[in-house]
Amino acid sequence: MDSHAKLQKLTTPGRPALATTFDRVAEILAKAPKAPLRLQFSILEVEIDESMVWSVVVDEDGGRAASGPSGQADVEVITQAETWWAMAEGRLSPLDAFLSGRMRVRGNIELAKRIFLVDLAAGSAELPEWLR
Amino acid sequence: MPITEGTVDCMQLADGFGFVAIRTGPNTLEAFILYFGDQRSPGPIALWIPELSIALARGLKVSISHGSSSAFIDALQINSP
Repeated sequence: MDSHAKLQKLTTPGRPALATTFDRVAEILAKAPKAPLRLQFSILEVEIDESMVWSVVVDEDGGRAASGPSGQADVEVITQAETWWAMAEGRLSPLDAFLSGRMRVRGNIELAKRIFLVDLAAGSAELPEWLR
Repeated sequence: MPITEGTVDCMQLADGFGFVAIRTGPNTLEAFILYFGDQRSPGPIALWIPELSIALARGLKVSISHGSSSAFIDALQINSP
C-alpha cells in the first residue's frame, strides 16, 4: 500500500497522554481558516473493551479539547488507541489507517478529508486522484 | 459486531478500490470499503455490488456489519421497503 500524508506530530515529549494529542489538534485547527466545527474522537481500548470519547471544538473563541462527546459532531473518528497513537506520533497516515481497516469516519466526509488530509497533515502532500 | 443502518448515498467503483457511502442521518454519512487492492475475497464483493446498486436505485435501507473500528464491510443485508 502506498504511504500517504501523515499528521503533524500531536505528541509532546515526556508525558504521553491522550489529552495532549487532542489539545494539539484543537491548537492546529484553530489556526486553519474555516467555519466553526465540532469533532468527536471515539478511542477504543481493546484490552478493557471500553471507548473513551474526546471532542474538539473550534469556533470564534479558538480551539479547545475536552473529554466527553461534543453534541452534534460534524465529523466522528472511531479508532483503537494503538492506531490513534501511531497517527499522533506521525508513524501512520489517517488514510492508511482507514484503508487498512483500523479507522472509521462518519459525518461530513468532505470536511473529514480536508481536516485529516490537509489541515492536520505534516507538509503538503498530494491526495490520491480517486480521493480528490 | 457493530451494524450500521442507512441508505446508499453513492458508490465509487474502480479497478483496485470500491467504496460506498451510507447515509445514516440528514447530515451524516459513513464511508465503507468494499475492496481496496486485493485484501478481500472477490466472491462476496461480486454479490454485494449489485445488491447495493439496487438499494441505491430504490432507496432501500441497508444494514452493514463491520468491525468496531473498521470500515471494511463484513456482511450486508438489504431490507424490503
